[in-house]
Amino acid sequence: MPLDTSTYNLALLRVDGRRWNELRQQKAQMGVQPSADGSAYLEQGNTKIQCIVSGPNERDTKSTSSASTAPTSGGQGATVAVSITIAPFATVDRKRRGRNDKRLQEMQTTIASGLAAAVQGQSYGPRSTIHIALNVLSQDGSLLAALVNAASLALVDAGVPMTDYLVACTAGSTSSYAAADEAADPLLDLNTQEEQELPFLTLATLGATDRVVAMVCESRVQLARLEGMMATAADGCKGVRDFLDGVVRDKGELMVQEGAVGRGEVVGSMDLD
Amino acid sequence: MATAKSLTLSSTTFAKLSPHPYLLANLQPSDPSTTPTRTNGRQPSETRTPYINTSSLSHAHGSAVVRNGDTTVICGVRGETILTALGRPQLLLDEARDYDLLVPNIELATGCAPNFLPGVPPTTLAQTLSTRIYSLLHSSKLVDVSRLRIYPEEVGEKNTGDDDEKMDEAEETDEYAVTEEKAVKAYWVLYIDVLFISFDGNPFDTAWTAILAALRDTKLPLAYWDADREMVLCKRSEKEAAPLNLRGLPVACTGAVFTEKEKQKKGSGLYWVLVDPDRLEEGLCDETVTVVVDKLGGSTKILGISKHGGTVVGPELMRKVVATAESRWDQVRAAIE
Repeated sequence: MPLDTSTYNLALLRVDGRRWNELRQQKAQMGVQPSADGSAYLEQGNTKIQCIVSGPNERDTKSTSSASTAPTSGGQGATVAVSITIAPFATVDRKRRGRNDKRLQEMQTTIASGLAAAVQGQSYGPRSTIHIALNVLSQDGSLLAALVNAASLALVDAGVPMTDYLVACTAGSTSSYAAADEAADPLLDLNTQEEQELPFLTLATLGATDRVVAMVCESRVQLARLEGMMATAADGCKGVRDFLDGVVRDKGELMVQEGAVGRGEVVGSMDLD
Repeated sequence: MATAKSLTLSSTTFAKLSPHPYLLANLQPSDPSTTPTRTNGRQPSETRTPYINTSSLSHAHGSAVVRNGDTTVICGVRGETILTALGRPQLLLDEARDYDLLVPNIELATGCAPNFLPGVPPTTLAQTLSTRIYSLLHSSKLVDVSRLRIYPEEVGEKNTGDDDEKMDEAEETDEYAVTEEKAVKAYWVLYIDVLFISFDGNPFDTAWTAILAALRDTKLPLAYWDADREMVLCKRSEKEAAPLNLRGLPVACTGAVFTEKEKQKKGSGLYWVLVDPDRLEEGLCDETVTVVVDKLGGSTKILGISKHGGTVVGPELMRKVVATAESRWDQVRAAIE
């Protein structure tokens, strides 16, 4: 099968017209679900995620049956429970995923343990659980990254203390071993088509720092390319963090305007200037 | 003053502590100058205005987002082809039921309300809703089954097959195809998936409105049976995609019966029929009535009546609910068109 991405070298434009280091268009909104403790909606290109946070509330073992959990603060803090629902209409070919789908569980575990590293759970105590429900409404590449970003934003909306945003981004490599093109560009923020054709990894970092919280790579990739891909993904994470921060600040501005919070009033250590 | 202050509760605390007396106090205010309203500020027969957005999903053949107050649902319709089983009779009484051409599914476990946590098996409510939607889809004959039939390609419009998309592999090979020219070779199956984004009461009406709007939005590509390749092929061009011919515009309207006493026998005490109930009201009412009406074409047709629990609603009250459903129909029609 001829690769569409093989034409990349001709114009240095990707299938959707982006340059190698461009993120897709992002849209996000906080507080989309009034009855939830925290909620967010995030679009990264055509990947659309809705996230609902409930809690922290007392641990209920029955309701976390298929959710993946991870304790915060070394078991001394609240537990983060993540469950993902993929809507049947989210993909091009309609496929039902069961609640015990292994791929979903793996993503749930990655997100839960990643968020557990960012959440300051010791203020809640070990008997409480923060439930994070992620609904995938439309899927077009970088799913894990978008899920992490949406969960991060919803946790901010819920007012859960975190050290920084947990942000994630994907990066792929266009070079093939046969072509021996050492200088080939890594690609940032892949869509479905690129994900199917290229080796790629998902990298999650804590805020704008280069502290890697999670990295998932499920395809064969040359070791020499890995560093370039990681650097590109970390750059992308910075872009995502700036975007999420902008969304949170806009929301804060709005809250000040609407009189929900007084101007200059400091909510925790968050600065709403 | 300290004791007086400690006895005064804010209305939200009152609502949380004792919801039934709270709703009753709102409907039957002690001060006659205040007009009795529900806790959400509506009159008993007042509904929430629905907002509908269609074609918002890129991967589905038809989709709709419906917002009714704080209840929001997404509905996606996707068509897939199935081959008619050979040896089964070609003329069936009800093809849609026999081949299971309409498959609705309701997902409530999305964290849409605090009592619907994600990652749990489908609740009784979700299963009941799916079944009620399924039976209404079939009994209302909303979808024209002739639009779901796939025939062999007509000889005149035979084309080279370059712009055709491979849709389905044929498993059966038979001489049968040659002998019967206009036999139905395959069907479209419509998978109708409803996802609750947020939940604030009245799930059936909202889900049904979403399904109605999504089905109106659905366009299926022109599919035909290719006798040579023995598979179903679709025309690629968007122009030839045709909408489903829906019969009528059935609209559901639900009312919940709120009684003065929490355990009330028939014929004693006051009661109110709260149309389009929210989550608080649903939790306090045992008896619900759902009427499905269609006013398209002038006269009102009743497509379904269902009543669950309680003994308050009689024929008189049922007429009133039907009248409310008629005004609800106008409201939904305005939103859908």
